[in-house]
Amino acid sequence: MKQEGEFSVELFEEYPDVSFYTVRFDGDLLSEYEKFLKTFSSVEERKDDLYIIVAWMDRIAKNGALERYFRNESKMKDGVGAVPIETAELRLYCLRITDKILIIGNGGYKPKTQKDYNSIPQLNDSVELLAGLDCIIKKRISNREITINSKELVGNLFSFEL
Amino acid sequence: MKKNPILEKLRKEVPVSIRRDVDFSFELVDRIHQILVNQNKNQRDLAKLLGKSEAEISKWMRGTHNFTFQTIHRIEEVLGEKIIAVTGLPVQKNHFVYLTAFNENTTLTTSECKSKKISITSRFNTSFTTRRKVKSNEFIN
Repeated sequence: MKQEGEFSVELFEEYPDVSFYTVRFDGDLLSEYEKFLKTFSSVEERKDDLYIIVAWMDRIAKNGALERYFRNESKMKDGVGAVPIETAELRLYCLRITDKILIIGNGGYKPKTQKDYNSIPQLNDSVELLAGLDCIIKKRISNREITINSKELVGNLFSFEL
Repeated sequence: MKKNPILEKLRKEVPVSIRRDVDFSFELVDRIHQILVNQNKNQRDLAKLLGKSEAEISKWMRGTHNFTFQTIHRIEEVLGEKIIAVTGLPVQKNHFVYLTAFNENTTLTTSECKSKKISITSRFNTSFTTRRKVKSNEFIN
């Protein structure tokens, strides 16, 4: 079910050259990325897919969130991408702000029989959340509410609402 | 540096084989990317050279594609450079031996290897995992 309400963007993990951020809805105990990790670490048949994603994200943490590593997922010209695990049926969605800043959202199970994410509500909601966030962040950057300082998002990272 | 406890726990569970596969895939595509950059080419050029679509090449270059040997050989052929090579074969003097996918910036000469106390014998007899731990020393001259 689509989650509504205000949310914030918060630092998830930090590395020497890259920062991972995630999204947390107000009042939620877990961030969106934590929900994804928690959910699929308890599903035995999805564990290998999850491990591939964790190992892949660790490489991104070292190499940077370079555009060429991501699969563009949203219809719009935004930075929403999926972790491109060819053999896996798990999808995790991210929003590339720069090569050094990545916002990680949620995702879900996408059976190989389903061609697009749009027909799966959980996946569609995850992509729409990041696509909407991309829009708001760009506005806040243009009016200087948010600034990018190397690998850091600085400024108003609260009270986002789609 | 901030770390997340949920992810930290999962990291410890990731099987070595999966991490090795993912790391190797990244090293492979980064090597191809490096050759393209050195030759002032891009993914579109590679697609043309291989007779493939740009979308297909883009898919390969994301760090998780399971390349076949035939594909790697074809890429080596059209780019005119080695991407991977078999290890453990007799070493020829002045011939680079690559122990895994590689990065030109990590090239070490024999004297540099000696100064770092890396023995050629131990490098060739070590297990795959051990060899990967000395990735920056994976070249000999």
